[in-house]
Amino acid sequence: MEVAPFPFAHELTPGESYAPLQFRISPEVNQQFLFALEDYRQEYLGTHERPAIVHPVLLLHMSARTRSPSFRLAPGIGSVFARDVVEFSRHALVDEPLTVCWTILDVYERRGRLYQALDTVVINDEGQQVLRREAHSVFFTDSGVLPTKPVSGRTP
Amino acid sequence: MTGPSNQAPVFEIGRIVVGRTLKLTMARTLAFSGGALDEPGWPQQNLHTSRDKALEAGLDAIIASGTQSEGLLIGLLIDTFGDRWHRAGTLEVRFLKPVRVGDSVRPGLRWSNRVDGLDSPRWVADVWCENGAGVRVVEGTASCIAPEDSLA
Repeated sequence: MEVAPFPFAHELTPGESYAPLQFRISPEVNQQFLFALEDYRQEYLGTHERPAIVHPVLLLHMSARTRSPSFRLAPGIGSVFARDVVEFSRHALVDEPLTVCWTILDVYERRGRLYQALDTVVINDEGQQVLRREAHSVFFTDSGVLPTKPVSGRTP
Repeated sequence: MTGPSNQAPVFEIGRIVVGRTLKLTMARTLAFSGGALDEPGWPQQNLHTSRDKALEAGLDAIIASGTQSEGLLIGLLIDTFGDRWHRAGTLEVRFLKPVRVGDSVRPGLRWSNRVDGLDSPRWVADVWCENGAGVRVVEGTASCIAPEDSLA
């Protein structure tokens, strides 16, 4: 049986989700981001007594919806962040298993553009919340034509 | 920035605190948006790493990820709030303009309110990032519980 492809990002409706992602941040990737930001605090490098903590921006980076295995953009459509509300709840440690889940909160139009609001939660292996964010993204096209607003109840 | 400032943060409504400037060079942008260095085919091709992808998306140049500027802002907030930021920090930002690779970004904040809670007060600030021309590319608000050593 042929498996239907995941819907395009702009087709999702409120209540639908992107596929969750499980990940771990290695010390090397953490340090790569320290270079990207020129931010070499000891807490991100760790010591013999204390494991390194993940730079918070890496949690944002990994919880962007583009990281979801089901995220895909339609040809000719781009999308960037417009607004982001983040609440940090606890450290994440390097090499700690983490999971990120995304649920569409809202789809709306503003100034002729299509926006998508997403509830995003990152949890650790014990189910504890590491961060929660509400991210709003705008879709744009190279032709300037607005992607069609999705219709609720569409079967993915 | 190589680490937090040794100077104790001053919490005072109206006071402005600015962070250090970072040039978002191609190397730093690739490190941020190119994927893990040991990934096959590194860097990932996207509008933060590839001119072709940027043009394909309707942009006229490669732009740095907005999250990279947000990361600089978070650095300033951790300088200010210390470890508490990781457990009680909240940040709301709007991305106003893209930052082209090679441009600089500097974060800043201005204390706007103090909300007294059961234990420690929560300080609220207007926050922003400016590009090299002094134009705001990110702005919003942040809040966190003040660190113990800042309380009178």
